[in-house]
Amino acid sequence: MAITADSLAGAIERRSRWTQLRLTVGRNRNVLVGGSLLLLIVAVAVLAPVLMTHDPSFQDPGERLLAPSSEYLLGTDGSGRDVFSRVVKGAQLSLLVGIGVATATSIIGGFIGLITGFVPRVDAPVMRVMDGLMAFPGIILAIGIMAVRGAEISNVILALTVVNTPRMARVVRSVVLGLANTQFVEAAKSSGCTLWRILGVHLLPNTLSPLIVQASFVFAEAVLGEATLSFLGAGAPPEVPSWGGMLSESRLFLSQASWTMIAPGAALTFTVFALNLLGDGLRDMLDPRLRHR
Amino acid sequence: MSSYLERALSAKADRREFALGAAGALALGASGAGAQDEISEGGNLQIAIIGEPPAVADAVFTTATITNNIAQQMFEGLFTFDESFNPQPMLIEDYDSSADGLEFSFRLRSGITFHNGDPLTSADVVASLNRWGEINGRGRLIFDRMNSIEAPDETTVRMVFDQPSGVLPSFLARSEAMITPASVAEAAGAEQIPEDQLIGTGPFRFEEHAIDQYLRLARFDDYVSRDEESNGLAGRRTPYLDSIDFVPVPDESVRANGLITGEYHFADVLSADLAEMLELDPGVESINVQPYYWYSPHFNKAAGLFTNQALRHAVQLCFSQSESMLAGFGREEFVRFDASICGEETAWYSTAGSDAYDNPDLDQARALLEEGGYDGETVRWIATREYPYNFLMADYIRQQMEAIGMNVELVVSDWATLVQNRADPDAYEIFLTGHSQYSHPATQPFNDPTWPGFWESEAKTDLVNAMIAETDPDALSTIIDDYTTLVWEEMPFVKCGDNFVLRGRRAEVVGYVNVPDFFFWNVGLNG
Amino acid sequence: MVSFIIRRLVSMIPVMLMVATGVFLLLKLTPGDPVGVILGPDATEERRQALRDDLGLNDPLILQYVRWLGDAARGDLGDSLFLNQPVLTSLWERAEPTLVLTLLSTLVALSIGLPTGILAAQNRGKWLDMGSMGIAILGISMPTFWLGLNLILIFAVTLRWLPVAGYAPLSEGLWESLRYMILPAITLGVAQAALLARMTRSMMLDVLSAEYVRVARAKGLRERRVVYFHALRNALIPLINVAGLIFAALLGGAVVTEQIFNIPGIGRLLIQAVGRRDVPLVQGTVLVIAAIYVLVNLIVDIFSAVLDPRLRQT
Repeated sequence: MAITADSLAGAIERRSRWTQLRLTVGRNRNVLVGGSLLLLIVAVAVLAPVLMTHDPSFQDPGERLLAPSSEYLLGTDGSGRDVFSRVVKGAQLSLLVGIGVATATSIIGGFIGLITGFVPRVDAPVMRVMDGLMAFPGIILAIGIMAVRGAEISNVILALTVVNTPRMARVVRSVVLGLANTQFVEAAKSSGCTLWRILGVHLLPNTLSPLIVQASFVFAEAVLGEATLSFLGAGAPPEVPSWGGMLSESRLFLSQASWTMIAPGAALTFTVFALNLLGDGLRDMLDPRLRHR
Repeated sequence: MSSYLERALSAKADRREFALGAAGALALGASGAGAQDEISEGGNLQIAIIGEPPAVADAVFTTATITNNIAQQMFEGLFTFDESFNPQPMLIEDYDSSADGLEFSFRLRSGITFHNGDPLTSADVVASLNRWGEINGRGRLIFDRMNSIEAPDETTVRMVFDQPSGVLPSFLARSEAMITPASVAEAAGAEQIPEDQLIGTGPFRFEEHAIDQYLRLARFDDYVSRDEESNGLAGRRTPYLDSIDFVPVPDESVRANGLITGEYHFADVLSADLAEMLELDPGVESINVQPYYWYSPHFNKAAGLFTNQALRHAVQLCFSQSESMLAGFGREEFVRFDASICGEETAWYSTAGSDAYDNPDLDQARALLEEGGYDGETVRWIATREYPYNFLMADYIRQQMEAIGMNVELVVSDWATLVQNRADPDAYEIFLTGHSQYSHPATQPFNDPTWPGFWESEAKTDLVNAMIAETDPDALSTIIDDYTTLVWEEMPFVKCGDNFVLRGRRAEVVGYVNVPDFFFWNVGLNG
Repeated sequence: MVSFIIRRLVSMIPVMLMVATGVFLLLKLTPGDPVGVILGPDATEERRQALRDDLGLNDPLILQYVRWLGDAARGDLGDSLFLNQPVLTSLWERAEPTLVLTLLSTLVALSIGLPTGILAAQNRGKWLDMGSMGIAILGISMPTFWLGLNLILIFAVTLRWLPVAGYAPLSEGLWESLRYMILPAITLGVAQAALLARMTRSMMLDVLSAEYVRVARAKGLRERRVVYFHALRNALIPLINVAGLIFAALLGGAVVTEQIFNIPGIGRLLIQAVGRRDVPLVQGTVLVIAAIYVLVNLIVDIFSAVLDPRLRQT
């Protein structure tokens, strides 16, 4: 295979970009630590079938509320289920909901933000709806949606997406508003570019950084939100191991078996911590204007 | 009198036996008699209940258990129940009834006053019962058979029926047949009684209600007690406590932790999983309440698949009823495997259905499916997770139904939605609920063909009528046997078994008697 | 200034209308029968229908909506179906616990968050800064209910210093009331303290590097005076914004905290009202919460506008 000048230049550019990214990430401890911790959780979720020492749903009445031991690493819960295996299994739900909500919110909120920021005609009505949604306490809105739609994982994702979309839309909208009158957009407009082309080619790439930053926080919010809903009994169906659900069940045995409360809570805090750290780091790295040093 | 004593004694013996049978894992609530002279007067009792009672304490207005239990501390009826759930005189001195069960004449006790100081008269009784007959389902049942209710003089109430109604005392002993001043009953009508009008004759009177915080009752100082030795709800009632606070604590874990830390003196409805922990705590006594409720999936008999009796039998045969109870309630000390629709503690106990009960036969079940022409239609089972047993039992039975080739969809919602859907014949095929083990079978709601499940049956109507009419206990037993047989034959629902509930009290609460509908007269706080 | 406030007040109307309509539709889409919950399990169908008629639940949807909206516009939020009292009375009775909880948590947030943020900014890049900011991220990452459970386990169940749950009104004495509120206030306040610490730090850093602070330093003012007098005062403007955000977050957080500690406040009222399908109560509560949220935002904007006239144009 012949090496053309073009491909060589491309390779060099790619290489230097990669190096640059590596350097930036390397300099940004938050991204490094947060990202590694998140990878660890992803690994746990993916390797769950290997890691789990017991069937997380198997109830063994004879083995109820056992303290942590070599057999049950984190003890057993009120139904005699292995807490360690349930915590591992619970990572899957948390990540599934988190990724689902972050993706859906980015797409829907990003789209709304682009449109409202650039097309003044739709701005006012759509943003009033967003204001209305934001005036609900998020958790109440989510509970309401769950009551209408029923206890399904997909509905949890839907409810939390509705809750988180307005803020995403606002972030993207404010970036677009700042760009709408800049020269390059004016130039694109005057050269007869279609609306979609301007949005997609000129504006979208500029919103990506704040969008990614916001998405990482939405991810964290969604993990917390799912746990809160499950804790209140309005989340995923109870047969799906969920950290929030485990915490809810643990309350009955607080004085007797505190490990049923400590383990899922620690896993939850750890995950959200990793995501917040990553979000902070990404913000510093990608979005200097919002930088909080 | 001797038969009454006998019944009372044998019931007592039964319970002791059970308490020992439970391997001493659970102490019996408390012993009622004998504690009398140790109880000191005064104190405020904090009771954690499962939620804000609908209609506060108006048990005529709502059938909610929690409201009825609270009403019972403040209001009294003409009768009440002894510990074997037989009706005993409460506000009446005595009564006459004609042998044909058509005429009743009640003589009120003298010297009884309401909480507002007015004396109790027969006019109050007539007005109160009229309201009961108008808005309460069971009251309506009685009033539909009634020709007249009147007060010939201040202390006499006379009822004349068109059809024999020997069951009357059992209906009048329920807390919903409570007596209020005539003015209160007439003013309230179909509305609920306003808080400041919650005036009864009971040992405790309404004091204060801060919604979601507490409902406070205070001792009624002018209470006139009966003289008989206390027996269940009947007999002597002495209010020792200054006041009782019913604190709504919807969260079970808060009730449990509050009981353990002494925030509450008494906690209603706790998870059976807590029994061992409460046992280990020297400051707390666990109370295994029996009889309590029995549970069954009800078939929709108004529309859809289960209008076909063969398919109802197929479902009953495809699963083990006892296993389903264990799936729902987990712990053996809190379930009892029994075919009767009344607890064995009651006079209405029957063994008539025992042969069919808990006798799964998959081949026969499949044959019945064939015979009933089942062709893969979806069975919509409406369930809720708000009460864990409701989902767990449904889920267990679903698996067994699918094993014989039925197609079951569990439609899970919250309780408020389930209550709405089960009233709609087009919305479901099966729902599951509980019924009192200590109620006269004629008072069960499912006898009403408009009640969810819609049990329309001539044979049933005849037997219920016969039960209501009968005055002779032996004859009644025969009718109840027939009724129970009919239940297992027409299979309007599948009786899965009995469940007992766990309550807890602090050790300093003395004089408490373990009955399903708790009461706090004769109870004190020591130490 | 007056016209600014009027303009802002008028702009509240469509938002509130949105919320009102949204809540109404959401609730009407939600299946469930309030009557079944009120009348108990043994009620007859006939009786249920009669009560539904009484409560106006059998009327056409649009009629119910118009009637409710008309009443709401006149300040009448209707009667709670389950509690049998006016919605406004229900809310008023729950206001004290929620307000006390919110204020105490704000106090917790301020007393931990502000000094931490200032100290971190002063010691930028040192271990104190990095340590406290690490803890702050942990603080915002910890779910309130898990923190609450840990506090209950330690201070209520194990040590028995404080009650596990419940509420004593202020009328029963300040200490009695506080005893019940300490754990919930810490539970709710810690996350806000962490948030506040992060915000304070970054604003202090902005301000400390600003021109006038350099001038003040150059004038030879003592560092402490520079920090507490000049810098902090200017950092307060954006902090008012943050306070608005925190207040709103607290209202939402109160829902969960009140549930864990069985506090008879607005949050618990709302959750129970949803479970009982007490439609007027849910509508009224959400509307009032939304109104408070919007009003707080308005007040924040007014404050900012007073402090910085440039903002009045937008």
